[in-house]
Amino acid sequence: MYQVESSSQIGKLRLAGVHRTVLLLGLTSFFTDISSEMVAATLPLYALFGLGLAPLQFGLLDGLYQGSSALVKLASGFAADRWQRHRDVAALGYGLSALAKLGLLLLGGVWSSLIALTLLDRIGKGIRTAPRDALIAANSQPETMAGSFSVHRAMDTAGAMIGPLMAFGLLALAPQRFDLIFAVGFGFGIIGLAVLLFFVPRREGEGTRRPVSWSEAWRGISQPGFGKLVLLAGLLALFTLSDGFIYLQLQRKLELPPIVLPLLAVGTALAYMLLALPLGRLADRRGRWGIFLAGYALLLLVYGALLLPVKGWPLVFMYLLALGAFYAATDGVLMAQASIHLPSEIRASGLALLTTVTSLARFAASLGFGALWTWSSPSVALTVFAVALLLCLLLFRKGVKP
Amino acid sequence: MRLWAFAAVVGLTLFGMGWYVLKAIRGANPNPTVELTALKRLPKSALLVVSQQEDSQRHVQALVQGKRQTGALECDRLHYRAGIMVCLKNSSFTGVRLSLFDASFKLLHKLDLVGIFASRARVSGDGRYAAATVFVQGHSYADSTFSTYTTIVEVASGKSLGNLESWSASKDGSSIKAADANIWGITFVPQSERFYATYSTKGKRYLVQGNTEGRSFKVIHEGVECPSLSPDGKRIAFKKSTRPGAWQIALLDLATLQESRTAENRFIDDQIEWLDNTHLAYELRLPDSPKVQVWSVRADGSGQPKLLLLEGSSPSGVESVVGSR
Repeated sequence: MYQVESSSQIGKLRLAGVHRTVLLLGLTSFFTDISSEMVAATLPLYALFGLGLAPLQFGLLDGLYQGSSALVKLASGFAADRWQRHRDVAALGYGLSALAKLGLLLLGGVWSSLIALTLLDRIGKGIRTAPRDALIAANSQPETMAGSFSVHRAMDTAGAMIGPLMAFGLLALAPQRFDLIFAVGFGFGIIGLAVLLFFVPRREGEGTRRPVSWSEAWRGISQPGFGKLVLLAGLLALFTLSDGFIYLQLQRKLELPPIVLPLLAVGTALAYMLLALPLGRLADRRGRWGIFLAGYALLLLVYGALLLPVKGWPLVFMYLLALGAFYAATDGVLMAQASIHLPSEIRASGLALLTTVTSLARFAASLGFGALWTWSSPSVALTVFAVALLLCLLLFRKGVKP
Repeated sequence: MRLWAFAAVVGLTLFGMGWYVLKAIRGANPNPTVELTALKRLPKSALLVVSQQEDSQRHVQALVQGKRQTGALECDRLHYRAGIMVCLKNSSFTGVRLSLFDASFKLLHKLDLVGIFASRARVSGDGRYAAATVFVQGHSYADSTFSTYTTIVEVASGKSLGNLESWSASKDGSSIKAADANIWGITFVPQSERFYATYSTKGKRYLVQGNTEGRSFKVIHEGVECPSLSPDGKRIAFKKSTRPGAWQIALLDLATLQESRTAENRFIDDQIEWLDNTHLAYELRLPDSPKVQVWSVRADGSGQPKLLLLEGSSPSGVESVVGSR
């Protein structure tokens, strides 16, 4: 088992049980998420309505948006580890995304630049995620690892909730003025980057100072404990339905008015934000793997409830609570568990590998689910996923020994 | 020291954002001078459009003898027949609002539709029905693709006939109804319960004839998108797909099912409007730009396309006589 640094080094800088750097990273993510979610929420409107793109073109744009961040994750994670410059690599990522918003403001009226700028934005996101998570881990005690990640995720989600609200508020005040969204998004991106550059120390709290070699990195990642964790997490992700689909099924099944769809996302985010810290702390106290699986058990409940003929719109709150709790119990907790398995020198690479595998698995899940739906029916597809998830939960009960 | 530098950066950024936003808000919603107060006094040669001009965003405009008159009503898509106007308006929060007005701009009914933005609007030649198509996100399993939601509304009662995707559909006697069906581009046959539309399923785009009484569709032809029926009921103007995502204007003779083309060779994405039995009007979107223009061309393939309006969209004729020939 790899130890994180001794408590005396960082003990004196704690706030609310969480290191100051983690809070600062949370603040950076807060502002950056306001920025990116503002744009993400209004991009469909802008592309179709402001630019007059055909849905086919938009599908391409959206696919690029969802998938392109995976391209650079591994490379950036390794770069951050190799030169022990996690903060700087993360700053590069945040900077590129902010630049992309500026680009949208200045050049976004043309299809080709829209594609290029979306790519830039998502590459920025891919670059920053793993180094940032490694920084969170480096500034946390193993006993409160999940709590640290949860605080960060909660602040992140708060920003993600404010973003769309601000975007639609701006559009209500100045209709068709998508340039406002890009300008304000750029502004918040700059503020988030400023927090990172001015206050997050470059090298504090990291294990070693010397650059890491290829073979060390490989040895660190390929040890059986971490490998098994990646495998199990990947399998669980393979049977995870996307939010969008769950909301759609919910709306159809309970015959809710369609205006409800964006509100469902906000509801889940709210539940996630409120439950993140309590569940993170619980995970630290009672066992991270147990809470992680409990989260997936909640997802299984959601699948089951979608299949059963239960009706009545008050159930919506239960669904949103369950989904929010699912995210709170799995997202940060998985990163925390993985961080414990990884030596600090190659943490960014390891986390990058983990998130790349889970992203690919979720992508495969969407394709697989879609195929099942087309060839048979939504109910059959949902049943397959539910059964598979149940099997995974039963088989993976023991978890992974670090 | 660091704190001051940070405060300076944040202050500057917030100031810049605030200035930009306030400037935009102050300049937003300028109310143009309203000259168009009623539709009933417009001559038959008038053209109704949604304005794309900078200073009268999305207001209804009438082009009368080369001069524009702006109305107070704002729409994103419109259509006008037999004294009834259907107006679709995108709203960030509630989806798309469908409103029905009479020739004095009096509101008759309104309905909120599922969807993120308006695509097509039509009123039947006898003013009894209105149809609307909106784009919906996430109808299919893949979140990022779009599908359509189309409905028909009875003008008299304001009641919608529901989601047309639930109606039965047949081709040569056997059912083709499937989960992936998408319907759009309604065009009505006046004085009847029939209409034409595009029915898309399993990668094919069919021209179907629909029946509001029987709530059913029957395939007539293939490869026809966004049909528009001529005033004499004999031909359909439609979008013909020349490659994925690109269409040109084509005509279908309903009796012989022969297709023909017009002199307009550019890529058009609009439900064509018949100004009369000879002339078509349509939107032309300039490549890679939000600018939209309105053009006209003869349906028989002769002549050259003619520019009617810079900066306008959703052209609609002003036929005030029911089923005029």
